[in-house]
Amino acid sequence: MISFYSASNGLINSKRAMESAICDAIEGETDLSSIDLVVFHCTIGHDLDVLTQTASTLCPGAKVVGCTCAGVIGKEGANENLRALAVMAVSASAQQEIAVGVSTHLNGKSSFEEARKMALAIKEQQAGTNIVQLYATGIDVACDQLIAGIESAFGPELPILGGTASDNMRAERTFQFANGEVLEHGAVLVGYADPSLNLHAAVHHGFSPIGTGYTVTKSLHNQIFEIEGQAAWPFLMEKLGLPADQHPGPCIPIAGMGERLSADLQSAYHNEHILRVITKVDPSDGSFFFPSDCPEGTTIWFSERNEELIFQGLETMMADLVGQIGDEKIVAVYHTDCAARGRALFDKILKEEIIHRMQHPLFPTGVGPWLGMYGFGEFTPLAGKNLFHNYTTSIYALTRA
Amino acid sequence: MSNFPSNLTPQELWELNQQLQRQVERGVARHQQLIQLRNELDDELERYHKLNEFNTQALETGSPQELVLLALDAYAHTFQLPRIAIYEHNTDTQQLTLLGQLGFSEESIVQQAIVTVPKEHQAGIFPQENSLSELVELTGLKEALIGIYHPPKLRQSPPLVAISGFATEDAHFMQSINQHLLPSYSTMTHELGLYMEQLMLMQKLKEEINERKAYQSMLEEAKIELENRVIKRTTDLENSNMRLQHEISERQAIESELLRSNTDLEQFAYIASHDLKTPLRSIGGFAQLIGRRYTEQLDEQAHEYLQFIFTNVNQLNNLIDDLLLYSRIDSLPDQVEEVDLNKLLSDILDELKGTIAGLEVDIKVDELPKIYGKAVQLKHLFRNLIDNAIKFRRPEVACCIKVSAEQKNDRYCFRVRDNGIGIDAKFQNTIFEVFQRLHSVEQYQGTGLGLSICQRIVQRFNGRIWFEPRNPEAGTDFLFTIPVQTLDHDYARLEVKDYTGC
Repeated sequence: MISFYSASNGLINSKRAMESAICDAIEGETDLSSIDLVVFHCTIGHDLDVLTQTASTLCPGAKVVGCTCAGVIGKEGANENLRALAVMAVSASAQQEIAVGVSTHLNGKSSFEEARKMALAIKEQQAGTNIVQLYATGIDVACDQLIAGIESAFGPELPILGGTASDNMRAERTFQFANGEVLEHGAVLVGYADPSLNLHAAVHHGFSPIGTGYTVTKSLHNQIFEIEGQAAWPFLMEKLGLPADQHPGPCIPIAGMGERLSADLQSAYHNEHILRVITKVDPSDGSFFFPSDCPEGTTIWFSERNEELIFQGLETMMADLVGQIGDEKIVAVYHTDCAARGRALFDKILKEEIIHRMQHPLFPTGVGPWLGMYGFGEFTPLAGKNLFHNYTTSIYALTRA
Repeated sequence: MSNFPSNLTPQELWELNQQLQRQVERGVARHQQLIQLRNELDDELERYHKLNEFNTQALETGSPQELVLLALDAYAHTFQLPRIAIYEHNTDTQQLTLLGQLGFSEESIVQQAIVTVPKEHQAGIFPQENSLSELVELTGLKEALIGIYHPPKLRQSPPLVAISGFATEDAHFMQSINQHLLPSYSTMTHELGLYMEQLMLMQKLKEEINERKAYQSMLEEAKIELENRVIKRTTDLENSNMRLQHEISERQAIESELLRSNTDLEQFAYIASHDLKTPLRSIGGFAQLIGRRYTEQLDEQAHEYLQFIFTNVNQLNNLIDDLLLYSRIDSLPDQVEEVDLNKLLSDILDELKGTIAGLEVDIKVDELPKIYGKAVQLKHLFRNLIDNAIKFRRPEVACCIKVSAEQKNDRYCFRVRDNGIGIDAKFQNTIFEVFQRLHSVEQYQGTGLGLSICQRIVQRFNGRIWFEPRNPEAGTDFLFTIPVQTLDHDYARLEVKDYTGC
């Protein structure tokens, strides 16, 4: 049986931050030697090597995984400072209950193969894996291919949770952590093999498409070359009144592109559109990359955040989630939020209000183990189907009957 | 919808749609600009809160080191820059010394350097402010905020320099430093400087207080030690007093016993002399009577026997006199009188005229001082020594006696020199003992008390007597000391000093 313990802090000394987070997480609950997995999220200003080394040293028997993000969310709340850290320490009754697969060379083109390799590695370690958690680079990746790769090994029923790494909204470099190493173009897949563990996930974004949609006229997989017959990125920038050579990072909050969802998913999503983030541009030809395949002929829309929709959607999402969980006991919550939903879109009060509205319904008397981050994308099952999202809040409650 | 023109052509509708689309798109960008502005305001407010927080926490720090750590944390949280260095500047040597840093490796930052800190600056941004490049070079940062705290002239504290920024390797997640950060950065550095100043003052005060406490503690220890010493001394004194009291009591008892014994002795001596001398006088008288009245009847043998009786009566009479004298030396009253020793010696020489008549005896007396003493005893002293010199003269050699005196500090040293038979030095201690004789009575007449009486008289005057043998067969010097004293002095109080060899 797997147990979860979490803590977060804003200490600026990376070693002290990790030591403090792990010790605070397990304080009074278990001891360091019993920790089999450390999952951590941190912001980009931390010394990443020191964080991974400290975690490995402190918990020598543990696999250490995680990624960078624009901000961490723990039971203590959100922290988007340059040095913020959140940790989930996990102990298992048997080592095989937790398996890890790693990819060190991941990009848009290799996404399927790398994901399949990781999934197969996990399956080999523990065929009984019933939940997988995925952290991947947030810059050049085809996330629907990642999902497909994992499903090719485990089948489509295996729920995938997780997200893509981010930096501080600059969309320059993101990092992943696996087994004591800091990767830049990598991914890490964690498999949980605990049949007593159930996953209940919920997701929503609260954005509305605006104006007239634009047609993708030339694309290959997730690379979009032309929109309406023009170079794709300059076309979008012209619409926003920004220079053609604008870096995509600062545009993330405003350049979220809506894509119509298939009819079967619209009601589960409470929205007709799914959003796509642009984190990589090829200035040589003005193309940009979506985190998922975008066939020619697809219509995409600019979208705007809709505060009413956000709060309404949140209420609906949490009500759905609480309904799904029913009488089961929540043992831990993982949480991925879009980097654009942090300080880039909300002020401190709104942000704290949103987080409170997520945590309180699940833990009315005191927040339990909670590990969240503001990343570039979210892997969240929707209506029984694994999907990759952007600009959403995605919550994964791990429960036991 | 009622205001919507219904007679538009499709082309006009399309253009209107395009126009609206452009407005929507521009609106999105403006909306984001507004969000950014709001975020900047939020950030400014957050910096204000962090500054406040820093102020509150800085008040509670107890040492400069603790303050530097707090400041590093505060700079990091407030300005969200990954690397921070805080330097202290020595205005005398122009040396900058690193107080603390965050985000640098040991090799990537200069710990100490001679650098001129521009006095005209309180804050600046690099690379825009080129005059600050020398400071930023110490850290190797690509872009940096620099805050400088210049203490007021009268204060002794050193200037502080804070540098926050990012290096080239951080550029992937950093954007150019915003000018808006400068006022807050300057304020925080100023606050840091003020708190540092206060802490240094506090530390100095603490050091002084500790020093004073140490002194106080030393004083207290010394006081305790002194008190212990006083207590010990007091105890010792008390014990000593008790011992002295005991000794005094014992001595008083002894003195009183001695007094009683002296009185008894005196009484005994008087009685003895009287009771011994009366029958002795009778023996002598009757012997003389027999000699005179029965001269004819007595043969020559009987006359010789009578002569033995006379001699022994005389001998016994002298012995009784000497004993009486010896026993009474200490019993005379302490009051002294001025004695002219020249006169005293002159009297002695007059008395000796009969004794030395027909003998080759030459007695020379140098000028002698007037001293305070008892003429009777002094006369016995000199007379005894001169008598001895005459008695123990060398046969066939003219007897030369010389009496002289010299003053040594607070003493007179008297010398009676003869050219007699001399005394072996080994008898130095025994010769003054009672009844110690170096020769038989048959050889030299005497009671064996003469020198004992001399010693007792000299000691009575707190003096000392001894002899110095001269070259073999050249005679003897008898020396004694008498203190130079005034009339009212009590000899009993004088300290006995060794004036041997005076």
